[in-house]
Amino acid sequence: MQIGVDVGGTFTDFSCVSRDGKTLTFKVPSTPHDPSKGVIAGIREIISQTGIAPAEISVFAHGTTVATNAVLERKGANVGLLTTEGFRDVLEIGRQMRTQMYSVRLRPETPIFLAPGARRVGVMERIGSDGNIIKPLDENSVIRAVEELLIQGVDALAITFLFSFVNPVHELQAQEIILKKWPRLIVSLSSQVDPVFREYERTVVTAFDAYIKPTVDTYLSNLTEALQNEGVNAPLQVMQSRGGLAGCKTARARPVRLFLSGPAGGVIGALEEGRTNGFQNLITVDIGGTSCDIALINNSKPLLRQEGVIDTFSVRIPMVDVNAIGSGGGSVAWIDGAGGLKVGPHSAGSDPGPACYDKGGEKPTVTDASLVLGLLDANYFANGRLQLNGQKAHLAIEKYIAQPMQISPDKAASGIHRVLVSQMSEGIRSVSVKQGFDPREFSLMALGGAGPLHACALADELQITKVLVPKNPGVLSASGLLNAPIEHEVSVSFNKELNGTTAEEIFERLEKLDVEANQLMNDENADSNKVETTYFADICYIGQGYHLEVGLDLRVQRPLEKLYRDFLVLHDRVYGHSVEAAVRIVNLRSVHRLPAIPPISELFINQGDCVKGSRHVFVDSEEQRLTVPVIDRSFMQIGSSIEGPVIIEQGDTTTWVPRGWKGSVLETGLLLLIKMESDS
Amino acid sequence: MKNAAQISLDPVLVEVVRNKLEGIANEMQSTLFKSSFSPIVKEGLDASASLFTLSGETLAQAIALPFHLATLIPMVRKVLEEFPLDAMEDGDIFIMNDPYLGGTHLPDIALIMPIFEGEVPIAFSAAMTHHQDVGGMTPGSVPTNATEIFQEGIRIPPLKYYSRGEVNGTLIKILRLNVRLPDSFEGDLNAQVAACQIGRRRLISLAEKFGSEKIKYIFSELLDRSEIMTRDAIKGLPNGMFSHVDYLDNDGVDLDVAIKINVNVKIDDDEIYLDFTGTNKQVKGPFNLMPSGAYAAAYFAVHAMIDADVPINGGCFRPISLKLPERSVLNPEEPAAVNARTSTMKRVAGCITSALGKADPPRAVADAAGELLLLAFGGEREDGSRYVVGELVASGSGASEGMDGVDVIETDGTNCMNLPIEALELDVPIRINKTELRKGSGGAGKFRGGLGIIREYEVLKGEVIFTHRGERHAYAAQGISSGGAGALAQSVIYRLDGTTEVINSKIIQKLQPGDRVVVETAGGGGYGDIKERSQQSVIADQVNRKS
Amino acid sequence: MKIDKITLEILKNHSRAAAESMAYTLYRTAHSTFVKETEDFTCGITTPDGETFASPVELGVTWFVGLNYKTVIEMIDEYEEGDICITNDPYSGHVSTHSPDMHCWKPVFFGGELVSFVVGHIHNTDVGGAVPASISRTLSEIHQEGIRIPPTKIVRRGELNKEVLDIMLTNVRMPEQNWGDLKAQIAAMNTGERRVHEIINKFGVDVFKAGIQDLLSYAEAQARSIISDLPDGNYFFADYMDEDSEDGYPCRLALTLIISGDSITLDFTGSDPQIESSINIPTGGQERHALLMVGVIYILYSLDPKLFLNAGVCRAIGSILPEGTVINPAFPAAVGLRTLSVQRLMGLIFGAFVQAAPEKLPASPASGGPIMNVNTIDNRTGRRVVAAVGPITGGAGGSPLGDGTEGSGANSSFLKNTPVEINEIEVPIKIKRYGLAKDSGGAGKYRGGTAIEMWFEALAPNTRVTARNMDRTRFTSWGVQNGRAGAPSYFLLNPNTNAERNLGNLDFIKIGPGDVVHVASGGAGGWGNPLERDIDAVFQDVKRGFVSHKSALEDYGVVIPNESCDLEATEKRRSELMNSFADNDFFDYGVGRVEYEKIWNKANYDTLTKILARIPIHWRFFIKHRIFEMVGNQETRDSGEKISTYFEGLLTEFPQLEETLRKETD
Repeated sequence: MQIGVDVGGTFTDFSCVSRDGKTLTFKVPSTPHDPSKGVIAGIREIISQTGIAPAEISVFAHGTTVATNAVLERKGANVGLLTTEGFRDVLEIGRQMRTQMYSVRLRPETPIFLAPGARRVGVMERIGSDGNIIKPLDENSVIRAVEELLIQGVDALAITFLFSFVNPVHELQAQEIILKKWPRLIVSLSSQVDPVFREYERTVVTAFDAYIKPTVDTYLSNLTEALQNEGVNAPLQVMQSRGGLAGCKTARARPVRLFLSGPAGGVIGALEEGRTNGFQNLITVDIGGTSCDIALINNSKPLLRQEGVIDTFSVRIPMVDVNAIGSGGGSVAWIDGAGGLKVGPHSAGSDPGPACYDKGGEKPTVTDASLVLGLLDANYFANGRLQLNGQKAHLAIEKYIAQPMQISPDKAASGIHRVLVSQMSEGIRSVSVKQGFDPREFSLMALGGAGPLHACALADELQITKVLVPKNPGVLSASGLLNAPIEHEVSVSFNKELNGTTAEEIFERLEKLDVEANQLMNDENADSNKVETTYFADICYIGQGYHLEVGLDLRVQRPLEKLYRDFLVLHDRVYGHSVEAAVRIVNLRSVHRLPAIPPISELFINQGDCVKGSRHVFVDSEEQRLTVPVIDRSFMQIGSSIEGPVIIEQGDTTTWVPRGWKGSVLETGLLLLIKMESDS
Repeated sequence: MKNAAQISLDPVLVEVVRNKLEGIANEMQSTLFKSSFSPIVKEGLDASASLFTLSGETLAQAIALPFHLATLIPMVRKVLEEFPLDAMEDGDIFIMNDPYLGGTHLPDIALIMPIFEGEVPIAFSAAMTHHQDVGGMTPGSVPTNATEIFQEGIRIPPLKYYSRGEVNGTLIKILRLNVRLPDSFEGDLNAQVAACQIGRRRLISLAEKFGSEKIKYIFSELLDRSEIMTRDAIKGLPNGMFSHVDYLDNDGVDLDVAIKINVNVKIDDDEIYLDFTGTNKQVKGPFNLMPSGAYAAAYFAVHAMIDADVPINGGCFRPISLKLPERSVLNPEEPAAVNARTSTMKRVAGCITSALGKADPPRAVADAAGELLLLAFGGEREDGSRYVVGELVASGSGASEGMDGVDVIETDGTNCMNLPIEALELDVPIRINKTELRKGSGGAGKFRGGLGIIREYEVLKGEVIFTHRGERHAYAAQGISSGGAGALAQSVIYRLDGTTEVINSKIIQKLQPGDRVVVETAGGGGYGDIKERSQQSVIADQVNRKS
Repeated sequence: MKIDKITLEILKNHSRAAAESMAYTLYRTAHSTFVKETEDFTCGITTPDGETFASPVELGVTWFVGLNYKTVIEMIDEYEEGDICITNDPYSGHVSTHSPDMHCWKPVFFGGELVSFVVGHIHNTDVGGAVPASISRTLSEIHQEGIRIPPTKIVRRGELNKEVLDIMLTNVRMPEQNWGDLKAQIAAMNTGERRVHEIINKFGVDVFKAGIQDLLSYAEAQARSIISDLPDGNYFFADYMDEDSEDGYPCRLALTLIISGDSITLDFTGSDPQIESSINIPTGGQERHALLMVGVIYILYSLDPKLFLNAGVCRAIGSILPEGTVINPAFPAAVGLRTLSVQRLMGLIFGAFVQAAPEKLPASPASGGPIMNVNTIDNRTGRRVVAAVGPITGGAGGSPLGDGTEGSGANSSFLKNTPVEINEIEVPIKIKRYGLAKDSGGAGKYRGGTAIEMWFEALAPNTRVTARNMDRTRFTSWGVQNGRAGAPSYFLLNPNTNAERNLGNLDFIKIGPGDVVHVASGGAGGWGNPLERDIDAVFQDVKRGFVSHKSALEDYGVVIPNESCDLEATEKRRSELMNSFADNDFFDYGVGRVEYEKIWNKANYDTLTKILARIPIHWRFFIKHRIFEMVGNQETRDSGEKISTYFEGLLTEFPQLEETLRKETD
């Protein structure tokens, strides 16, 4: 049996596939204080439901928010930061830019909390830009610095010396000195966490690494232990932000790579869902309670970004490019000073939540509108776990929107949706445009509780003609874990002009990287001849301050020439132009991946009439309520097709298919919605 | 738009269209950033895209540098004046940059494109980019010692860059010949064209969907709404006259003469008049500011102070009017030099903010240092190749009720990154020996002003031409409600032979190997009486080496 | 078809007349004082592929006889009747040779066929850029020298291109002047077109077409016969400009004149690398570039004044122009002040030729002198004035035929001076003296022409004075056959006061009301032994104030105790001097150069030349300066070895240079 577990804020999702292809997916409440408890609870449920022996569990892939939460809840370590003397404040000064453009009352924008002034100490040493030692490392200044920090209760150290990415010797010496005297102290070296130039960015990543290390460490060791106690001896694999799995050991060594572990699983899941159904280019739209996550998948590859954002701080770790827009089902609708209808960014969240949750929330939300319009079934929301109150929804919209605007509640409710859709569609467009893509060339995959509800409207706005709704959009992150490869990525700063270097020289460097990567693979006793090795170079035009990751193939005729050509093409896609100017290789990267063997899961479909009833839905464009059939997804047969207007319900979401759209169920159970030609 | 009556308006549609317009502006913006060549656009974000109504009012603008807010307005007006609407044709794109015809300084070149649905004009799309070099006496086209516009680069009057979709070959030939980096120059221009085209394409499809008469009406409706909201916000302020005076150190030419900025803000129910009578006459050096720039600074300051969540468009500007005395530093006469006007803009924005603060004490913010120290090092590398590196160093922001000022952060209209030490040292033979918060530089108070920075540079090889364009060396950022002033900026050159030279705000000097320069930028003003500062804040400041 | 001599002669006169009427039109309608008074403009008529076959002799600068418009003509895609094209960009075709020169050409059609071009240029007082008047020695890149217009149609099918005009006028300091001058040029073009049509109507188009070709061949034939009268051989000559940059080192021009049979080759190998100030000469490597031809044409013309001046002459001449040198600089070298270097270039050519025809050719002319510009606010009108108060020129060299002309002559006579009255009306200055400078002409049997000096007082605050082309303060005009070098030029502020400042070669100062400027050009060189000069001539010189008693006594051995000349004493004095007189070298270079060449002799220069030729262009100026630094003031006794060792030293100091050299060698 293969098991994928994704621990989220409220629920822990499980996706299991047994040898014979039987699939089992379910959620259990998360246990924030010690998430491993929730996981174990789930394992027990699996065992009791399927009756398999723990030993039969062959794969245990895990996505976790523990790293992110440690930051959000500020529950990380007491980090002390050692820097080159004279540069201890780099972390606080940052890049001196601000995001609050139009404000005069500014807030700090650097992650000072990681190590406030008192916990930042300079050390006597200096390495020059050419790697030469300008001022040798002074052992005593290291000892003195650490002692000073320990008095302040520091339990983890981050060390970032200038130009350690060129020559790490001083950082290594410092680490040696420290561990000799304080063997148990946790130490993160910038030359290992992120050996790339730009001291502020490197300091931030390294400090974050040290900050979450103890938390992640404790959590993962607890989990390993607990699993062993349960008799599960499958290796624990953890999803990294780049979209690949890594063994527990690696994950604990480099915790900073676990940010976005959860969403990465989701993207991989969507990718796989699309690929197996023959859709290589996807825009995934995951609309939850408070936000809407958007990701692009191009040629069945997730788009990566070199720098991600954690709690408003940008952190230089390669991660799947997931963008959040601040509007979702819980977004509150309101009227601005000039009588304009607005939706969000403020959200009612899950507590008190939308008015219809009946938990004391008064303000009208998108979900309330959905209910008023007749798109949702008050008795069958989230598998019926939550009884909705239509009255409250109606009142809220009446009072706060309809009356002030002097329009009918129906109009007001559909107005809320139209505004929401106009906002989201612009958000989605800008995400794809920024990546250099035209949304019209993509299919839209609707995820999350509210995704399928707005998917067709969004598609219309974006002139997208295909919408995909997976069988279990709710647990895609978990199932994604089972499709993710094991991946190890090691990189090194190179900094040479392309025509100032040779394929040989580059190959030499890459070989060194491969040694490291192989080691990591061996740690997970991966079958070395199944491992795929790919190389990348971060390249920029001379004088450019930003670079692009370009694939590097050393087997072709003139590898460097091809590299250059590929760079030009990519640059043209992302930046709209490319000129045949000199370029520099900033970093070299070697990625080793062991592709997963996706489990073949068989499909279970209920027999019988799939139409479970009908509802009166208000359709704005037709100025009236229509009687719309409601279909139970679990009864939809493969190959069967439907035509809008129709509502399709399933445990974890509701799909709204408006007039002009038709739908059909593919072999894999995927629901495909297509815009009809006649209507366009 | 008198046909308003006939058009029945779906209130939701107005909001939908507004979201569209914002989206369109943003899409234009990212196209502009994406396809530009020069680092100054990509890292400095010094470019902006916007939509204009047929009457030349801002319809929607993507948020870039606040100082780009509205700087295009006078240029659009000028173009409309030179080429009346009915003379324009689909596919025309107009170009200009001349400050004395509506621009702010020569590197900022604007492209403006009329948009037609069929025969009917509906709006303009426009894009402005700060170009890396537009010729003139020094590379980069911002000569600190310029005394005439003619030294600052090529001046472009309103001309057709495209005519009915055809590029003006003659013009581009002339332009290319007169700039130092013709390829990246043309590349950036094309990026601007691309941005305008996006705006055109999407506005047309919007018009096709809802009808051009209707959306034109919605446009005016949107402007009216922002106007209403702005007026409401202004009503929230007490009537009266509030004034503030601040100074720029000097104009870079006459080093011992300060430049006075004097604003009298008159709040009259729902309108704001900004009268700059008493402000310095125009100066020799390049610190003169065009009215367009003064307006931008004013719009920014007012918008930021009333900080109501008002959608930004021309409507926000209607209640605000300025009086800029002729031949003053804020309304200079040709051919005064203007390239260094940013410092002036920042100080003007600061003055207005402080004056408005007096109207609304709870919302008041102490002076930000508003010093964006410009340093440039020019010399030869070992291989004989020439280099020029520029560096913009920020200072402390002002404190306000409940909030200490922020240390070393970009304030008001500009927002530039600093240069990573490792990037600089990899590129040129200069070493940075120190980069630290400047202890004790924040103005004391119940809430402390933001700190400045200390940065030390050492020349390693070859003679270096060193440019230092500072501010706040003579006039400190003032605190409010008995908060203390921020520390003055100070910079010193330490020669290898042991002699030292104190830099008086603005100089161009030669440095030799072994010479060191230590710059300390100014601190922001404090808020409230220091005696009221909480005990733990006092302690925290001590342990964190802030005071 | 072949045109008979008589018809050809008439055609020649008509076409010259046509060119001259263009010049008159332009001269009369032009606006700026500069054009009106200094006549810094040209007009001409060319063949369809741009060879000038007719130009005025009496009007405008005579520099551009050989000017060939081919390159720019080809940069315009197609021509239609009524088009007029302009360019001022030195790097687009190398027709314009610095940005103030706005060149114009107009196609002339006959029966729909393009039969000729009428062409010409005007020097605009200002075209924007870093300094008023757009030219300063201190500028280092073309980008600082004002707006550059590539070859462009300013008039399309008779219709003015408003856009180009707008952008041009927005970027200059005195738009109405430039516009006025441009209108004058357009008028001149149209006159030219009309006159060419008249000629064609008179002779028929076929005669015209064939005729203009014959005129060129005719001039070529004349030139070749003059050349073949000169003895074959290689004649080397070198001369210097005082500085190659602000307080820099001298800039050397070197020429080996190769005369063989009826053709001439000018080999400029040995000239200095292109420099970081604006005195580079933008020839674009064109071996018959006008700027190179001027000097030769002067020579040939003075050897035979019957020579018909047109581009045909140049066909007999070729040149070798090493790239990256001051006579063939690479973009974006500044070129604004090339007037100065071209003056020196002409002198250089004279120096080479005088060795081939010592009994026919004169000593060195003063070769120009500063052109004074004033930029200030006129108290009387409150308006800004940018004006050329005139060229401060020097005389012609003494020659076998007699004394050099005073004050101006030879290769600087084309610049008319601005009348004092016009100056004082248009510019807020007071001219205290304007005249010929005593003892400035080089002594000789036939004296070198005297220099002009000007004293003026500024009347308005922050008056900016530019002394374009200031030079010859160190390296003076040479004399020949025992004739003496001319006096150096000078530029003084508040002379004979304790505030006096010697400004040397400084070419820009800011002065206030009451400040006095005293400026003089250099004098020309003398020809033949001064002791052989006619005594009465010397006496007259003294009476006129051209020569001082002192100089009369010491240089000419003429004794003038009181108002009359003491012939006996003179007789005695002269024979004394004659005995002590050592027969000098062919040339007298003057003190400045003699001293200098003790340090930098030919051997040193040959070695340096070889070294610089090896290294990349962008290194040359730098290395030249480093080596000059090392050499300092030590006199040279070896034959260049020292220079090589210094260079080896530099190679070790700059490994990356050595690397590039190695790369190039293998």
